[in-house]
Amino acid sequence: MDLLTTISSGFAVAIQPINLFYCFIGVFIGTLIGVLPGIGPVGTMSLLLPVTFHAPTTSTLILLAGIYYGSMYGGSTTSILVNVPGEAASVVTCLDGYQMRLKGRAGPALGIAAFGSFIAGTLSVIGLMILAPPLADAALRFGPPEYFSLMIMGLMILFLLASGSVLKAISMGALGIVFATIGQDPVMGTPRFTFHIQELLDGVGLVPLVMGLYGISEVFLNIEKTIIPKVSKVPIKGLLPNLKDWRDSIGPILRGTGIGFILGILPGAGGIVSTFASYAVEKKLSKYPERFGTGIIEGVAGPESANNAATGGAFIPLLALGIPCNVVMAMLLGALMIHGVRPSPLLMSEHPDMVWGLVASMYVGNGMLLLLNLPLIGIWVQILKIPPRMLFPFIILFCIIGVYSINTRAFDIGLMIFFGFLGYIIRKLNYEAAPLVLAFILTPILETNFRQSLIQSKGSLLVFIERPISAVCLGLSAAVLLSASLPWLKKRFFFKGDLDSMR
Amino acid sequence: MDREKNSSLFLILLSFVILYGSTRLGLGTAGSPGPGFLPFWGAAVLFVTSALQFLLTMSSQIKKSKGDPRKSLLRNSGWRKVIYVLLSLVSYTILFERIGFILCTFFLMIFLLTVIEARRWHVILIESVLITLISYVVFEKGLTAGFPKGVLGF
Repeated sequence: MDLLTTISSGFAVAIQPINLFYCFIGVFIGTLIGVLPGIGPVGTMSLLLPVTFHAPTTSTLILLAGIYYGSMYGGSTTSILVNVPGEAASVVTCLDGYQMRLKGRAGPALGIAAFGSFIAGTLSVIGLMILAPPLADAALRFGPPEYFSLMIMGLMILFLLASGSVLKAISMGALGIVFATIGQDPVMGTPRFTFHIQELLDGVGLVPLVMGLYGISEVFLNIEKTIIPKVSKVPIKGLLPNLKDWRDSIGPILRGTGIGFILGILPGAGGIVSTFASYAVEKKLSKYPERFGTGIIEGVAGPESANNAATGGAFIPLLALGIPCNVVMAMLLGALMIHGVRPSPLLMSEHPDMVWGLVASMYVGNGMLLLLNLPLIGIWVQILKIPPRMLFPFIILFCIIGVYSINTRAFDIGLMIFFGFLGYIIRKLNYEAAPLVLAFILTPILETNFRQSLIQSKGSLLVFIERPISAVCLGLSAAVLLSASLPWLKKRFFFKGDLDSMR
Repeated sequence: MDREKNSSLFLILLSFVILYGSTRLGLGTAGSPGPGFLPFWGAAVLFVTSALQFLLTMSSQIKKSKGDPRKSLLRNSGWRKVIYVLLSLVSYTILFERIGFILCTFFLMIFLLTVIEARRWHVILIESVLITLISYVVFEKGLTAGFPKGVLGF
């Protein structure tokens, strides 16, 4: 199928009434949680995952993806209006967005954030359409050894690009591997770390783990110290940026799109990193860098475009290789697996309607978001007034109902509470939950491919080096590890530098 | 001992437990791995990174031995709320299948609404009844979630 045929078949799927409905619900909820500080897209996706069990797979993916890119739109609203980023990827927007609001230019700031997000989101989807198919074609030559090595490489890059300490990220990844091995061994069926608990024989479920780590722990963290944003009563006027605003913004929007898209493909915190990178680039290229942070539109246009473009880029490794490059993509991968779809390079050829329907829905969703975010800005501002005392009990209740409804057993609620408290503790200790979740999801794939490779090679480990693609992946993994370790080792043992530099 | 060291020590200890458990499961060989092979290597990585983290924290503490206030997990007064909510959720899990969704959820909501931000008792009561009933109607009657009936019988 050529590109045009695939696009048109994708649109045929995306504009089916049920998919339009799921897309709308996804972008609506995404904007909502983007506006509300406290609960992020991962927590929301985990909350809604059980609800989608009975929905068609394509609709589920459309809904979950809508939440992801919708939250990127919504996150800018609180950054600009109340100086509280609704999402981590909107932190940079606070710098100039809030200053613009103080100058009475909240309207153009919100407008350019929405238009920039729309342009970047749409361009990144085009990039996704162009890049993903050839990558998937190349990946068709992958066997179990290549897959194993690719997973190792994915994990390495992911750990090393973690936003916090690399050591802590690897620790969490290792913990994720251990949690993933709970249950029956995939080859021999031997129970592993089940402590004679019948319910653990099937292993730890993805939903209790993610809901706990993101939903419940988020509530724990928020009830400890609740931030109630002060909402301005001044009406927001003039959402459409003027000609000068457009002239100043178009460059940052296009550059932000490029930066966001490329960084989005790389494993790690693409969306967040890309906003900082875009802001830094704009400041560097600007004729008046000293004005950044005082409320100039370029400081909003670039980062807001970058975080939306990153969402499109992040889909490439998932759709082409079956590898999630961040925890949101891991949630989508989890959803695919729950619906019985095995993520692999064959995804595009085996399920073209699903993949292209999802991609086309992102065009539709970006259009919906533009309509939702500009005329309805007043409603989103009002949402900030929902008291946390009402919000948090609801989140807890949704988590309980969601996790219970999967297997109708209270054990899963207990498991979710355990992971909720674990998530709270690890985040208080500046560990990240994302490497744990990613390792948890990737480990079964990694273990199965490792065992299959050894069965194929009759127990010879050389199979991972003898096959060129596998060898390249392992070589790159080693290079990534070395590149991160060498500067630290040099400082530590030759220059006696700062010990915290491994962070 | 600050929280960084404590957490590293805990992870080191945990990795020992997993290493022991993995060897009991059977490691097999690299060419023919047993059930304990992968958790063993996971725990080994956990041990190495936690030990490194512990050493780094120790040496940076020696460097900054003066004027570095020791941080505690419990430095905010809000931690009590977290413990209360945690205990209420554990109780909920234990009682959920015994006394049923409606009663359990009603009491949980009263507790959560009181702990998060205390209001007048009748406001909390009305909110708890409404949340419980709406969630019951939507999820049990509408979406047949299959909640336990418990002592009320429905």
